[in-house]
Amino acid sequence: MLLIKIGGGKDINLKGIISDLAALQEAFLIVHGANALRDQLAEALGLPRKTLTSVSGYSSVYSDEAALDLLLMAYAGLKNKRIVELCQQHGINAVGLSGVDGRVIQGRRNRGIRVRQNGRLRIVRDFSGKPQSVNRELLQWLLDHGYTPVLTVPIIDEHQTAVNSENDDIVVQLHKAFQPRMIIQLIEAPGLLADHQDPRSWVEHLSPTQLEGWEARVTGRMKRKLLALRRLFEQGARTVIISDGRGPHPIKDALKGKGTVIR
Amino acid sequence: MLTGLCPLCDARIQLEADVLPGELVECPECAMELEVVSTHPIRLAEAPQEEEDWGE
Repeated sequence: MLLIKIGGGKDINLKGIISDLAALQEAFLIVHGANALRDQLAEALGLPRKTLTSVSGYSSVYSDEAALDLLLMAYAGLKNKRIVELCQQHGINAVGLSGVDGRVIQGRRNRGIRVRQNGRLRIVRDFSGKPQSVNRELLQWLLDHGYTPVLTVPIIDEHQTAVNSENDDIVVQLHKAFQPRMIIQLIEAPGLLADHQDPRSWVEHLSPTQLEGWEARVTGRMKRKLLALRRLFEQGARTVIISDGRGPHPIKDALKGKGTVIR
Repeated sequence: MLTGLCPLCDARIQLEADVLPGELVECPECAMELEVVSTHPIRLAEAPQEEEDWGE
């Protein structure tokens, strides 16, 4: 089984990805983002994205109630259903679910982030959380009956509230439940970049033990992505391929090892 | 200046007049990290330890 994570960048070639997936014999699960669409909708609605950086250097999206409504529109609504539609057009009987539907992705509300504002240390809370488990029974039933789950945020927390979460952490939980033979992450870059401003600096191979060193070198969201990758391998992941989602055949390329292969 | 009570050692803690909910202060007596959970009235509680990689 494969676990496919599709990034939410604006140049991701969804048609190419879905048509490649339609040719596979193997079962797969899709998790997708929609950050470019979310930002586009936010601008149209006059709701600018708010981000926070914790005192220890991790940056996060601040999800208030309006931001969560926007997330439902962009991720669970428009993007999810468009991907499902594309799947149907390519003969994949997809079922689009947010983590709230059928409690597919369950998590715990974040206890807050420490930020420094005007020289003062504060804890800020919002509608965000960490996935802790998945409804494996429901997902397995869908897979066993020929359906392909297409998953996205929000997830559901311990108060039965929809909360934003990080797709990389959702992938960690899905990996724990299904132990796929390979995880393919499609992004808007040729792979992991040694220098984030230089697309030619992508790294072809990494060992799981090298991830920690990389984590110390990067900042912002990349730091969190690497931490999630490290967790995948701590849990026994075999292969993760981070590949370019913009080409004509992103899945075929990834399966050929084009991108950053971590194993 | 406003004052609050440390929930652990009952020490009086001085706070700025414009203190905000969620602000973190340290008890000068027992060094416990405290969160200002409300400002009207002032109420302090032990600050939660959050995970570092938070949210999206």
